[in-house]
Amino acid sequence: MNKILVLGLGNELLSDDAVGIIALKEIKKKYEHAIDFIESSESGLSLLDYIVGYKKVLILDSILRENESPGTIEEIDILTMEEQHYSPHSPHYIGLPYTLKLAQYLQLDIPSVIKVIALNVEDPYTLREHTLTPKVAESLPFYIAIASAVLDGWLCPTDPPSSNDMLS
Amino acid sequence: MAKRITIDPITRLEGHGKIEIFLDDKGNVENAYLQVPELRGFEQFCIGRPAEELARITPRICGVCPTAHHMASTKALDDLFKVDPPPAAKKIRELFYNIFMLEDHTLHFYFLGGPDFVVGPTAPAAERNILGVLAKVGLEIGGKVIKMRRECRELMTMMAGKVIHPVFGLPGGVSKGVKKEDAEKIQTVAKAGVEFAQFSLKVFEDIVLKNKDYLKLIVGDIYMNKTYSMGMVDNNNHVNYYDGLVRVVDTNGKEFVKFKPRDYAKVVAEHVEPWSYIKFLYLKEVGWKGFVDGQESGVYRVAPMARLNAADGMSTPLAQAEYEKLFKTLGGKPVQLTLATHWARLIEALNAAEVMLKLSQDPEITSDKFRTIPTATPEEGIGIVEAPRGTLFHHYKTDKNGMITDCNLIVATQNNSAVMNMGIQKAAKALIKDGNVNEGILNLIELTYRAYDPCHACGTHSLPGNYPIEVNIYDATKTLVKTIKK
Repeated sequence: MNKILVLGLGNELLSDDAVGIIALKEIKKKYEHAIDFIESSESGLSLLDYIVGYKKVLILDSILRENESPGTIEEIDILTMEEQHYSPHSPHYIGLPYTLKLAQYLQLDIPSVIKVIALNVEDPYTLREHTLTPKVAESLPFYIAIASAVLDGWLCPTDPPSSNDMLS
Repeated sequence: MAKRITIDPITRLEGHGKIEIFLDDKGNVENAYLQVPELRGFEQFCIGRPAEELARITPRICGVCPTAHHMASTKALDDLFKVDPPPAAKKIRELFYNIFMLEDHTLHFYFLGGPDFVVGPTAPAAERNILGVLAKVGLEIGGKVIKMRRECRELMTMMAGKVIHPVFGLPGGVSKGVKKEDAEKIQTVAKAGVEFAQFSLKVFEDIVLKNKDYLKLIVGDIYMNKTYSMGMVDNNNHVNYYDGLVRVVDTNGKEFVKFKPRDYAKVVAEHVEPWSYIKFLYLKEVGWKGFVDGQESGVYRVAPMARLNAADGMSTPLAQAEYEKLFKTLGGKPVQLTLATHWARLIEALNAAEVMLKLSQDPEITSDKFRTIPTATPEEGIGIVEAPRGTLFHHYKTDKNGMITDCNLIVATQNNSAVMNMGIQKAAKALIKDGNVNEGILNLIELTYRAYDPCHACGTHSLPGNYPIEVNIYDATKTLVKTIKK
């Protein structure tokens, strides 16, 4: 078990929803020797089983916001998110931020850093295997570069530029 | 002034449900609907693919109950390739499936349905969650829940390769046997599972059944619908999640029909409404009479309470004692109280743990004869299992090369779609008066469908910024006059 985990989330069959998995597969080629990689279409509580015991976790996921253009990239630090920004209870499952709060409550060994790099997508619903919409496909290389910069920073803290530099 | 209320979880993955409530001029409920986009044409997606791939493709319908789809698909492939798995393979599959049932039911009680009762149905949303549950039952219980789930998931990974998308079910058996040391690990978890399920039933009794207000809610008319009940049973008419015949009892508890998976299309039919993506299942012989209760209406339901109604008992002693207690407490069979589903779910969790223990101690479970190689030309196959949420049907047809030409999937939520609509309408009419709607009332309405644990993976992937429930109130001119978010 390495100290860093990359968790790619999404459903490979659902068009843009696969972007986190696609990015993971690409990044894995370069970092497999030093970092653990897990792909999952799960969410919330199920993800807890994967991240417990790691020091740092990078989550690659898609996100769909009404007021954001497809292809834009967001970086979110879940552990420092303000509570009003995540749902306390959903009709079926609980979300990851809330799951982490539970883990902290139970004093589980959760990572000190959990960063999400999310790519705003256009269509995470349509059954189109391995087919991204054009704007999302166009942003994919930059998305991978940002995620790689975060990992480089974690592996060699003083060396590469931060992902925030790349986003600005 | 007529108003329209929408309860719309804002989600982005694996379907979602939306409740729309229409008020009349006096502010009372005229009608209410639950709309569910569920499968997104997955059946069409399967056409043209090799049949044997479906056991790996269909679990990707969603991230909620892939194990149920994997197992229903695997059984459909047995039927399709006309191959009977060896006894050990059947036992291995059933063992695996009961681990899944224990894990899933435990999750629902503590994290999803339980907060409504353990914390309180009208408690503020910020408290009505697992942390609120732990505040009532004790912090150490949270650790036990997490541990039980993790251990079940580790066992499933050990047996089936992947916990989220299992890969071990093959036509004619399984890809991997169970080693003696693996069986011993399963026994250890099963014993803990039995104890934990018993503890959970005690929690339910102490916190829910001994609370007069909660009990009143459970047995009250608001959450009662008289329907037929469906569930799979073994040779003794005991509840079985993996295999058997499907039994339906009527509104009086009398057997209406017991059928083989092959005959499902003779028994159930699908009704379509223009306002929902989901189809509404009903009993063909009784007929579709609309969203109405009673013996003359073909509406039926599935899920734990319906399964207990459809069976004559449980297959294990501890669960059987709890089964008898439930029906004695709630006035005999059938129980038509939707909220009793939470109690039934815990009884099933106990049953699943006992079955786990029994099968893991069976000497045949470690047999190396766990696959029969199919040799027949595939044509048509049907597989049925009981998903945690209810009866799940997979039906495939192929050409002579085994490529899928037709695919029909009926998931538990579709079976329950009519009764969920009826329940929501009944609760809304009883609880919303003179246009007065607040968060507590909306949660009381949501209790109706939450009991069924419908397969909407709501709000899970959506990280920040989104609220899971939004209520919009419109006046007669369709102008938005009020929004409630929670």
